Amino acid sequence: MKEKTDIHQLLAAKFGFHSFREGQEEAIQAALSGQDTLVMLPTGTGKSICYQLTGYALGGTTIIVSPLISLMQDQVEQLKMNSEKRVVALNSMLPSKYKRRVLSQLNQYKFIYLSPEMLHQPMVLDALKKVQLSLFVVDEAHCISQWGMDFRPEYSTLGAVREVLGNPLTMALTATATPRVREEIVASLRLDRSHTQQVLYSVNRSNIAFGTILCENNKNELIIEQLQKLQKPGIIYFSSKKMADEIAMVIRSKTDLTVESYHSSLETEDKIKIQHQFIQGEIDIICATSAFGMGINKNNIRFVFHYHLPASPEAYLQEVGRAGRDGEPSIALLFYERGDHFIHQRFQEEALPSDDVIEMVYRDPSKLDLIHKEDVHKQLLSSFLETHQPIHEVKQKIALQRQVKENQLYFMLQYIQTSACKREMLLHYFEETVQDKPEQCCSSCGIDLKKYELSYENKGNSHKEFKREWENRLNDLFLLKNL
Amino acid sequence: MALTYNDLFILNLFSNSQAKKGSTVFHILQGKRTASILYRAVDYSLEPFFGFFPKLDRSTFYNILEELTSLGYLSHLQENNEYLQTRMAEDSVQSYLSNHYQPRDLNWLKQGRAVQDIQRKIYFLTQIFSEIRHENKRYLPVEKDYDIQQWAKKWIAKQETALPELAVEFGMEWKRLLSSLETENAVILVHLMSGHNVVGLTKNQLAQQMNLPRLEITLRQYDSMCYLIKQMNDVYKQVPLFASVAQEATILNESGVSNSAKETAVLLKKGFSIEKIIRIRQLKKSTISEHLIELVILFPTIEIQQFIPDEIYLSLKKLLTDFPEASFQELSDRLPNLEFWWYRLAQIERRRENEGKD
Repeated sequence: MKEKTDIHQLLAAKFGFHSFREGQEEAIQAALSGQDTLVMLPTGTGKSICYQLTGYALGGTTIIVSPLISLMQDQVEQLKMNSEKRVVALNSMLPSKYKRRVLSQLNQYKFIYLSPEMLHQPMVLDALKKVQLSLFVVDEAHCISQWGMDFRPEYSTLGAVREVLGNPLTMALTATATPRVREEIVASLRLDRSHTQQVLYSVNRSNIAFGTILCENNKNELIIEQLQKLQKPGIIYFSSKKMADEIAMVIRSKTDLTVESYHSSLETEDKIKIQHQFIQGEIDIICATSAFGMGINKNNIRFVFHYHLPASPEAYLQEVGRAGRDGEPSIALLFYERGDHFIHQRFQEEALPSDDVIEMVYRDPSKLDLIHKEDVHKQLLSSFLETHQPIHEVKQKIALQRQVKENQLYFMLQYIQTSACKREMLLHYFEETVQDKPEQCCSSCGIDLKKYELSYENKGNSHKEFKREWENRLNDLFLLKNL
Repeated sequence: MALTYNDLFILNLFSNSQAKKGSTVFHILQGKRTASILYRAVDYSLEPFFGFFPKLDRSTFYNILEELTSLGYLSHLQENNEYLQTRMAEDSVQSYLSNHYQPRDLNWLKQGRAVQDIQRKIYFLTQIFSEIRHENKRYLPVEKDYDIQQWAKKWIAKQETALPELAVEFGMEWKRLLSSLETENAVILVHLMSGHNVVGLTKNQLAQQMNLPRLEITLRQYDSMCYLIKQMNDVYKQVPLFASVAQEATILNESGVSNSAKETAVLLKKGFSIEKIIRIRQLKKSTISEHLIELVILFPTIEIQQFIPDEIYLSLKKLLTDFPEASFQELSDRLPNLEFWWYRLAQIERRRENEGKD
């Protein structure tokens, strides 16, 4: 009982919350009882708190392996905003002069975020061995699995790393993993099955209604029609940066909504500003690629549209899951035009290296230098080489990846076309069934779109008046008016 | 067909009296730091824009040149792949110059790196001090770069004034500086700031709100920053906080010299000969000579004569006085031992002397 009170007190003291969300307490209690855990909680339901609070309760240092630099940065900032200064991200963005200093003072940190590549560096591993490690966290653990959506070869060595670090208490977290993927996570991390508790909650988000809209050369019109009616804010996802820019412009010209596009080609300064404006409620709609959303802490996103077909059900649920984190009714609409899937087929052809390229690089690793440094092939092949994986296995893995991606895309095409319940179909992919069908379920079961529309009195948008002056704005920023 | 602001900006980079190579202008805008491009940046009077467009896309640039040529604003001299403004361009360029903002203080060749560094640091401090003024500790930083975050921590710790007063003083210094700008530019700089409950606008958003081309917003922003940095040095007693940021960053980014050239400069200052520097640095002679050309372009006080053997220097100087347009080939017929980089140095010296006379 005392322990329970303690974690509730910690939750209030560290995060300002007075109750746990579904699954959080169970995951934390399991870890505190000394069990390794595999936690699957749906997107947007507060997975970070599971390991952060466990870390506080256990004392010592928590290390978190995370696949994306931007995600790490966002989480470091969130913790700092919650007054936790003992937090650092060890990744390729950290200048080497600081890296040496951080490594020599690792014991001072409560939370250390790491990219998996860092764990291949002997100096990093040596430094970690000297730390009083209380919890080893693998975030986005589905990256371990070749059957998942974001297979990362570096993740496959985490089991060996755990052993080198003396098998610390481990928590692996994911939002979207089929039983097969979960099985692979446990095996790959070399967790003892009898000593590992799986805290599994359905990937289902019952407050989000799923709809697909078939278009006939009228996608833009249909999207604009919905945008004007629905409550905002919302996100529209695209597979191409160019289209995200173009459609943002079209929406701006045809409505009085505040719209911004967001993708990897924006200057860093602009990306940060757009994220902050969105969080502050100054933007109605973001036209984004998948680069937008991870780590964005915004609870009241009312809709997520997909302009292009998502590449997999996992990606779709991740992106859709950014809506309705406050538990209020929200809607996900996927707009499909015949032939849309070709864009993904092209991406898939380009996403994985051919056998010829694999052979060339394995014959002469210096050939890697010929590939552009940001090319995904280069990153993938470097990790295979660094982890000394034999060529025949690499070829098999790539072929399997290709097959997995094809199957995922095929599933999404079926999802669009099915007249059966779309929620059931999505859950079926994760080998789940719908337990409690919500009233607003999906476009096959029927959605009352009016329920998601703006009420008359709430019709305003987020436009802020621009004043062509500087002094008052500066006075407000620094409270200088009466000085 | 009406030319866009970007078309006119590119057109204005060319001249009606000096033919300029398209590829050289492209590399100047991208900031390719080789001796010959650096030299041409000065020769073409394009130092203000050296490296101003690091992500400029080659095909975008050439499409504009092609369009300007096909519309008759530029003539393309096929033989050397050079371009000249035509007579037809004169009116357009004149109206562009009189109707749009022209940078006065921008010199991206010498100041580009320092200006960007200073601006990032000052805008991050702006957010920190605004939040301090509003007594708020929970906010997301506008700066994600670990280096700059650490710098800000140290810089603040160094100040002797208590934080709340420091925050007021910082705001007052902004006010003093912005008052020296034309209103439109002050509006731009202030609307780019983020602080308590305020998220700065992006340049695209500012362009829409002010009904100005995005490029003009960028030019006004950086030109104003260059001007303000000058102010920070000139009237440093009125803006001591800003001046300390600017001085430190200017030293750190010394006149925009590349790191490798900086190392060569250090050895040169210690009095080592060029041969010795080549041995110490284990670099090719051509690399070191590129560094020296970079250094003499960026630091007009460096004596050029010290790098050229006396007898060659004197003959070269005389030949260039008699035949100012002589090519390297023509001169090396008369001076068989002439090395290309000596020729380049002599050209730079001639340019310096002519500018002195002007």
